Amino acid sequence: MASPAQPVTQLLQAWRNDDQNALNALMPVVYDQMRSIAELYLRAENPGHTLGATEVVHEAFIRLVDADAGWEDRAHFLAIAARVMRRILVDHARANSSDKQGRGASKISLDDALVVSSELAGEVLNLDEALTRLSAVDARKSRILEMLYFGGLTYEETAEAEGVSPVTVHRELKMAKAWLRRELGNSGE
Amino acid sequence: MTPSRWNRLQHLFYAAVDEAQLLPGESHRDLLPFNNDRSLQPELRRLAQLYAVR
Repeated sequence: MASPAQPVTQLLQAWRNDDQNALNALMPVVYDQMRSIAELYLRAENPGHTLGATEVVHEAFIRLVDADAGWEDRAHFLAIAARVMRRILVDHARANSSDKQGRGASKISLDDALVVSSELAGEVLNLDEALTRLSAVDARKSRILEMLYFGGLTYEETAEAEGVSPVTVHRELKMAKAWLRRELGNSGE
Repeated sequence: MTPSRWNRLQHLFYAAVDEAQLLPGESHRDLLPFNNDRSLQPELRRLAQLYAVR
C-alpha cells in the first residue's frame, strides 16, 4: 500500500508493479511541485516569454526523484509529468483565455513547440479538448500526443514510457496528427 | 467515429501503404487505397491526404 510520504522513486517502482494506489499518491505530489515551478516561470513572464513544458517537467524530475532512479522509473515519471503538465497548462490557459480571440477561432499549429502565452491559450484548450476526444477512440495515440506536446518528451522517452519503439511512436504520431486534422477540420493546406 | 471504425480505417490504410510499396519521397497523398469496403473509400482517401500533410 502506497502512502504519500513515500519517496517518489519508491512510488514509481510500486506503480510499475501495478500498485494503483502508488499512482494516486504520485499525482498530487508531482502536481504540487510542478505547479510551483511553473508559477516561478510565469511570474517572470513578460511579452514574448513563454512557459516551456520541457523545462518544468525536467526540473520537477530533478527535484522529486532520487538521482539513482532507473531509466524505466524516469520514463514512467515523465509520463505522469506530461499528464500533470497538461492540467497545469490548461488551467493557465483557461485563466488567461480572454474571449477576445474566441474559442475555436484559432487552429492548432501542430509543429509549434507547446508553450503557453496569451496568444496560444486558445490553442492549448483546443488541443486539450481534441485529445480528450481522441482518447475515447484511440487511447495510445492520445497518450503519445500528450507526452510529446504537453510533456515535451522526446520520441525515445515516449517510446520507453509506452513500451514501444521510437519508430512506432513516429508512426502513431503521424496517424494521430491526421486524426486531429480531420477532427479539427484543418487540412494543413 | 467509433473506435472500431477508426481501427478498421487504419488497418486498411496501412494495408494500402504496404500494397502500394511507396518509395522514399513518394507521397501518401497519391495513395489509391485497395480495399473491398466501398463505404470507407471516401474516408480512406481523406485520411491518406491528411496523413501526407507535413
